[in-house]
Amino acid sequence: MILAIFLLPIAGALLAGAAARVSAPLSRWLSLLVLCAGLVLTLVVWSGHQATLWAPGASWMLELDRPWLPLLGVHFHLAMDGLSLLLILLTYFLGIVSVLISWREIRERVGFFHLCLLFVLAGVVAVFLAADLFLFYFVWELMLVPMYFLIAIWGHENRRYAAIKFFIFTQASGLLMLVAILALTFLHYRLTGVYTFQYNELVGTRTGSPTGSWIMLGFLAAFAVKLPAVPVHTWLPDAHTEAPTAGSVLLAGLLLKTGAYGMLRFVLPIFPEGTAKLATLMMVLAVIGILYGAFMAFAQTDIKRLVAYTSVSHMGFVLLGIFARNEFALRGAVVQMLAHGLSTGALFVVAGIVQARLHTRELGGMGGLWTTAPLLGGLTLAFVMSSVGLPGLGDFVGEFLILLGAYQRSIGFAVVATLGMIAALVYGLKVVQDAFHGPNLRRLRMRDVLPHEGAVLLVMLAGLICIGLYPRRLLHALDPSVPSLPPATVMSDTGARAAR
Amino acid sequence: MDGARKAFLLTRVGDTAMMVGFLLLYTGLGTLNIAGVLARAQAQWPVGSASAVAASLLLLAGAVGKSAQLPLQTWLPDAMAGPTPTSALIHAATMVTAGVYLIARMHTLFEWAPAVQLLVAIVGAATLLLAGISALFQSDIKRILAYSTMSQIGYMFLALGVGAWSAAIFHLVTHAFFKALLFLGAGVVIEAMHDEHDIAKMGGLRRRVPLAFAAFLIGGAALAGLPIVTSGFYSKDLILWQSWATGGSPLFWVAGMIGVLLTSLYIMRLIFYVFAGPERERVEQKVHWPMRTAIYLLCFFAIVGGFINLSYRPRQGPTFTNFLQGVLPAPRALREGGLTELTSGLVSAALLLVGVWLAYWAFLRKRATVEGWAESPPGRSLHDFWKADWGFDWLYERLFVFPVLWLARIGRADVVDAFFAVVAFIMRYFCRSLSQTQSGRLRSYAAGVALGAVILLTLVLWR
Amino acid sequence: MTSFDVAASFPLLALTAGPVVVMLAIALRRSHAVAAGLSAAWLIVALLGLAALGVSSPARSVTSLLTMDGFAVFGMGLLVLAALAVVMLSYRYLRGYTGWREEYYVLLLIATLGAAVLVACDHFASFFLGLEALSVSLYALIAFFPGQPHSLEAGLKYLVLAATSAAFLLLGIALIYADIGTLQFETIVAALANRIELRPLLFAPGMVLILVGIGFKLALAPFHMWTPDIYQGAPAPVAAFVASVSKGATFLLLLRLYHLTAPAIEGTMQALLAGLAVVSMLTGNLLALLQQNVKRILAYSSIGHLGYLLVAFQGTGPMIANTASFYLVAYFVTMLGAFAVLIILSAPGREAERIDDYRGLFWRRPLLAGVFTLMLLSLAGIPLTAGFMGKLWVLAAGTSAGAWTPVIVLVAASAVGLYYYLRVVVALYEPGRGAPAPAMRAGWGENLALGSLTVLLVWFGIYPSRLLKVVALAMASLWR
Repeated sequence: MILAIFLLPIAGALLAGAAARVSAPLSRWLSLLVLCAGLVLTLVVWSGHQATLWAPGASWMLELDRPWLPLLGVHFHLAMDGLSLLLILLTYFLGIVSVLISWREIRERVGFFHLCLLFVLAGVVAVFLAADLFLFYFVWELMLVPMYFLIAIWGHENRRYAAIKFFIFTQASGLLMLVAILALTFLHYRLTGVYTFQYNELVGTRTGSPTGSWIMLGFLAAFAVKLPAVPVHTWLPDAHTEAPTAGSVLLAGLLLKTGAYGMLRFVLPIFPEGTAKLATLMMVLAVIGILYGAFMAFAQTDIKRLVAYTSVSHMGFVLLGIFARNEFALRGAVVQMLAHGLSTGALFVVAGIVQARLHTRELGGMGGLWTTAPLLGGLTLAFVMSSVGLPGLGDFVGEFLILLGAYQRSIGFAVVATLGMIAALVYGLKVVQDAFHGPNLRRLRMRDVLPHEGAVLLVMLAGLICIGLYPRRLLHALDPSVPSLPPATVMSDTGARAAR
Repeated sequence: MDGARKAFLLTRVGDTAMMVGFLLLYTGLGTLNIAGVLARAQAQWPVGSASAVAASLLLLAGAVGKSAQLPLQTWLPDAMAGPTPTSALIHAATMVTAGVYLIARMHTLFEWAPAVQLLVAIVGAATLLLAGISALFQSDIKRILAYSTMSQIGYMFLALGVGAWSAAIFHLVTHAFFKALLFLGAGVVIEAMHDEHDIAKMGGLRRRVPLAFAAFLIGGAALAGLPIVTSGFYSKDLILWQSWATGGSPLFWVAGMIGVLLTSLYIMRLIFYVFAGPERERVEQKVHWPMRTAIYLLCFFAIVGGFINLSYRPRQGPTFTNFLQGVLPAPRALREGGLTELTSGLVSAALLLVGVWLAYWAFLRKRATVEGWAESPPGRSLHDFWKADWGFDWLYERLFVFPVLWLARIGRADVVDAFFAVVAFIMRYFCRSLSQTQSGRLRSYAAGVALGAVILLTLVLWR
Repeated sequence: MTSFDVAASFPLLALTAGPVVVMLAIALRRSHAVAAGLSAAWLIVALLGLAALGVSSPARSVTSLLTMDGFAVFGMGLLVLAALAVVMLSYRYLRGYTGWREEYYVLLLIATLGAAVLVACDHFASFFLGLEALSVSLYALIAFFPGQPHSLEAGLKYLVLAATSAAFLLLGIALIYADIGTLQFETIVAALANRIELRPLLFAPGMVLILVGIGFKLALAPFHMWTPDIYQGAPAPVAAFVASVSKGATFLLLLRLYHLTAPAIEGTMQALLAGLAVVSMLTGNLLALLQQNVKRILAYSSIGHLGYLLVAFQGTGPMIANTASFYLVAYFVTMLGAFAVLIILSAPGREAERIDDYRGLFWRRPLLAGVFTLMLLSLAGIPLTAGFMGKLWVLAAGTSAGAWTPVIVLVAASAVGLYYYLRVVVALYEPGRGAPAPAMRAGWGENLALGSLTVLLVWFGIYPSRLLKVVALAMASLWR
């Protein structure tokens, strides 16, 4: 089962790539079909299994373990728990979204485009499933190459610069993570005499030493760049802006989440002492990210760049939640990840629609679009409201939980972070008002949303409303699988407990 | 459009503070269930404790933002002046009273933080005065009503601040009636004047638009608090009396009284400008039957609405107050002597009449003279200052808006990226310098080999 | 007179007979196809002989100058396979050339012989013989087409500089002889084991000077300056040969020498090699940054890769040889693959050197561009490729020993390297441009070569266990 989830996008990629020889639409339909199948499969898994969060001593929801490089203790080990399940759902869903919105936008080399798209998704799914650190690094890097192609070939004016910047940032930090992974393995070897890359076994390593802290920094480097945390966020605006719409959706919706996932899955459990020591600094960076991202978003005149910076701001919330390390904050972080994927993904879809119609991304070139595209205006307003943290929509649940958790850890950080909600409003209103409200001075005419675009946006909105009004099912998937452990301690004390 | 932005932002500022208050409440008490919060706060927090003060202060901030009180009041006039009268009505009667409701609902918490409760009263008193004065200098008919709303809510806050919870809610109810009536009437006037808002351009409409005239008369009377026959009288006088009786600073009562004078002044000014005096332009009243019905209904309630708080059986006490007794306990009368409820009522009635007479004299008989004063240099600056709501907009713009916009303009390109740009520059620099060594000349290559050998040998022999 | 071990010496004999046979064939009848075919055949024969010997067989001396242990078998196998690939690629490359070209194969075979001797040498004399056989053949090969731009210049530069470095080498050998009194490796090892202290002015400087000579051949900084000019000036297949066989043989020799003399000068040697590694990694990658000529990029890239390779020496115990050899194999596959693409698009005098020649290649010849992309990504060290696996192993060696400086520099240099590799990759996919590509279609020979290289690249990238086992067996013989 889990192998199917893992292999579907790969198979789909190859099929779609080949299908383009026959006809471009075939390629599109195949991709769509494969991704829908993946989504359905994941939902089936969710309904069939008890979704819980993994902790040492517990079992995974689904698991597959085969030896790969016995010399080094490397296994081909896939495993799924509640956290991966939710993120994989998001992955397949956003995958469907990106295929749909590229239906008319991408006309050149459609087969290769879908091949790259599906390979990116394959990489992301694999990242969420990898339970062997070597495999994790392998697929972490593998996400990069097709994404790079997506930006460099089908992107906009400044695409080459953006693509290379994206690649170098991610790869360099990824290499640091590789060194860290190796060092962790050797550390484990020195302590236990066993060579292994298995996540289950490495979680219990005693990492309180200075060496352990350096290793943690290696991991953190890669995840911080991906998240992105200020000050290593500068690849993001360029990459998001220059990518084609589908690329932006995948970048914002998924790739950023892999950074957060990495922190949740690896950094917190494996390095409990290290994260405790570093928490204050990381929370400071998080809060700076929230405010600086919001400020920069407001300062932009390019609509896509603006939305890109909002990602920095939102992921700042996620980072805050992760390093507040208590039950509320962590769950809030995951909810925020999901909600942000939907709301910011939707905003990129809107930006893509506008750009495709008006051939400009400059807010100065827009105005009064509501008169000619009221549906789009309304939908945009809804998504902006979610992005800004309006209660009843998904982002609010995430942000509120994060702030609650952060408040319990440190009042000061929470208060400053809450200011981010005001800042968010400023940029949110800028988007809606500059683009859609006001008089239509330039007599811009624009086709309103087409059926497939509208369907996509509506479903995303529905998702946000669901999360906003009824997050319980979601949050239950994050319950620890060992009920005897008080939930608040699961993620932070997991490693320490196992080490004892 | 700018009004929308301002409204959203300022209320959000208040809401954000309120949310921090929620975080505090949850962290301190473990629940956000309202009943639970109130019960646990009473049980766990000592009166006047820092937690209670902080929480109630933050909730107050939210209420202040939503209800357009000082210092977050600047959004209301812009928001209400723009849209149609009916949506402005929603603003007047429903949305802005949410803050009052919040404080009333959480009253136990405020009782546990007396300092904050006092602050509520201060805010209310200050707002009712400031807004009343500003209303006096407006020329847009809806802006006058906007400031009036602000002022009346100030009364409600005042009531909350002195502990007269049910009085505040009572005034909230009656205010809804007569303010709605006034707004609908304004709508009729504007329609009849072909979308004209400026009262200086109006006049003599009492014959032309009698429906609106009736609306404004009744509504205005209720607003000013004409004794016995208007609902506003009952609620406003209850507040005024309670502000004296509960024993706080007598200044609150004084402020309330001054407010009565101001209220009657500005509403009569409006009425005299719009309905009295010579006719200015061609007007025609066009009122459909739904509007007519609504206005009649509201006239009725504006008159009888106050009767709900009379006592209908001997020794039963005020009906409405008793009705709310379970949730909002009536305040205890602490102050002995000084005034009685009757005396307070008489003073307010007197002030009302004074206001009417002053308005008649200033805005009807001697209008030209008074307008002349407004044109003179000191008069002009005062006039503009008060018309601009005591300069709050100007202040906020300079404090917040301009700096942010300026920073945004200069910071548009990411400053953090400069670091990486420098790194890239260094790499290119090294590349170019190293490329100099690839001169293509055999000699330099051989020299390189020799140099390398020398360096290595030196290193090894050094050890 | 000891009995002549035929089986052990068969591969070398085959390699020696090869050039002779081809020369005779040329004398009989000049035919390009025959020359190429015969060369390939003889290489395959040598390969069979090596296979018969196997990697895990015990060491067998062939005269006192050479030893055929597992390490030598492995090394020779690698080199012969590489030479085979070069021959297959050269065939089509030379097809359009109207001048005399058959001698090319003779020289190639001799060079291979020299390289093979280097790997199997057990005596400084055979060391020098093999080195000279390799170098002299290369002098001629590099300048084989004097009409080609920069060809003569490259050949001459290589001649002078190789001779210079050979001089350093000889002095180093002399110093060691002066210290220990013998040129035989076995005896040297024994002598070192018995020594308590070495004469400081003789042995260590001797090793350093030998290192200089080796460093030149390996194109380590600061002995690297010849590399880009030679790669650019030489015909593409020859450049491929220099990048792979020449470097590989020398490196294997370094590996052997290191293990032989390790007890004596380990610490110093490791430090020196670390320093050379760091400098090479940085120099190679920085110099390639703004480069527009693909051949020069590959040249600088090879400098950088040798730097990465040297980081393996920071490891401990068997890790050094195992990781280094694995990386070497990956490096061979990648470099040959990259050059193969280049060769397929080139002809003598009209080589696909500039990046512009590759613009939009994907839209014209997607398979070729895809392979080239794979090769470039392997050079960059992206997973799924052998290049990544190699780099991983080397990193493991460095990390396990805690050699943080070389490891960090490796990471940084790799990041820098990404820039120019990606620049080429991007050019491949640029839409619409149509540079005039040579209309010649690739024949079966080079397709086979390129195809097998690609398969190996991905195989080693995903499932390297098989190769790792072979390497481990081969390296065991270094620890006698």
